[in-house]
Amino acid sequence: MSSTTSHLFEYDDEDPPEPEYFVADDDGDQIPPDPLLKSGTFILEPTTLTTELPQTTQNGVAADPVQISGDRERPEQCTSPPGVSKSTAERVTSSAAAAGAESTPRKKGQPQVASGALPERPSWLPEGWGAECKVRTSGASAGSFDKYYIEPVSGRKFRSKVEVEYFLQTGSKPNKKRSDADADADANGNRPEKSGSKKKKSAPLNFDFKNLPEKVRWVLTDAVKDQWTPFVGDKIIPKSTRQEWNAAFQFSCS
Amino acid sequence: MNVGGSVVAEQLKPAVTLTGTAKDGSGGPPIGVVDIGESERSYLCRVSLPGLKNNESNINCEIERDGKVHVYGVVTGGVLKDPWTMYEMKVQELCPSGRFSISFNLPGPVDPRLASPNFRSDGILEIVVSKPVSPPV
Repeated sequence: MSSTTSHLFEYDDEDPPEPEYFVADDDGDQIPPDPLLKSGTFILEPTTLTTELPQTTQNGVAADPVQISGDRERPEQCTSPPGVSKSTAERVTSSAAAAGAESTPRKKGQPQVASGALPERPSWLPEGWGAECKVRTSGASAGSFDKYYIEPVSGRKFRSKVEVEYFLQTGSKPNKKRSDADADADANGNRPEKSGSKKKKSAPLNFDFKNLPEKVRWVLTDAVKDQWTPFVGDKIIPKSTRQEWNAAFQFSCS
Repeated sequence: MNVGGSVVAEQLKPAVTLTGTAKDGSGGPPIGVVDIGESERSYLCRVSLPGLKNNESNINCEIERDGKVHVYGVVTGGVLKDPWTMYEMKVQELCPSGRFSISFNLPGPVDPRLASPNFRSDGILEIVVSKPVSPPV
């Protein structure tokens, strides 16, 4: 605690004697060991900063966000000012996130989203995985929390224990998010074997099973992509109706 | 189709040898050969349309609820690599350019909305059509 500042950035030091700052994670004991960051080091999260730091320090590298935090007794002497640390913090967190650090780089587009490490790390979460918590700041659900679990190798986020366990078993995500599936529906058009597999077995609600049209004309509108567009008479069938047909087709042939 | 032997050196009339099922096929144009299959809930039909998987052929497939299927389009003959060269056809066994249509009946009624045409890259048009479905309870 009284040693010189020359030790400040020796990350290899298991028990750094003189950490200058302290990251706001007071209960840092719960954070698991990280493959790249040595124990005793933490990544500075700008939004988690709680206290002010004098603008300059002894060695002139005040803004370096990787700090040594063995100094539990001095939580009141803290972190660099957010304005200074922002850019460097992002630089370091982005490189560290790939290695599974528990804090993730913040996107500049959404600064209003508060996030941070989960207060309690779930015991089932495998070592190396990150966990974070985001508060919704807008919309009808503003104020509610979203938990995310972050896979260390790819940085992919998972929203639930179920998703994580599925990934651990199979190496893939359980199912596409709904928004992704919607985006794909455009490209797939009338290819039932690609889209709507989830709809199998559940009866399509809007499909009129009784009133069959006399005749449907399927036109090969894109030979390369093998896209077929149905017409009744001269009228093209709108995409929404086509998706209902798709669902009904899946239902009828499953 | 199974074309036996090398035909590169042969002139004009290619020495085509058919083996296997191709040998049993008729000598007619290969366009419009139809196979039909049936499952508990749907029909499958395969129509051979070699050389027509392109956007110029304008393939249409009409399906009527009594099971009538009507496939039509245009045989374009393809695009020649050097359009300024005239070729006098010595052998004409493939379908000449022009309109065509193929009509056949499936064994029973279908729901023409519940169809999934699939023009395979090998020139076979595969259509799966569901039999009429009773509404789910």
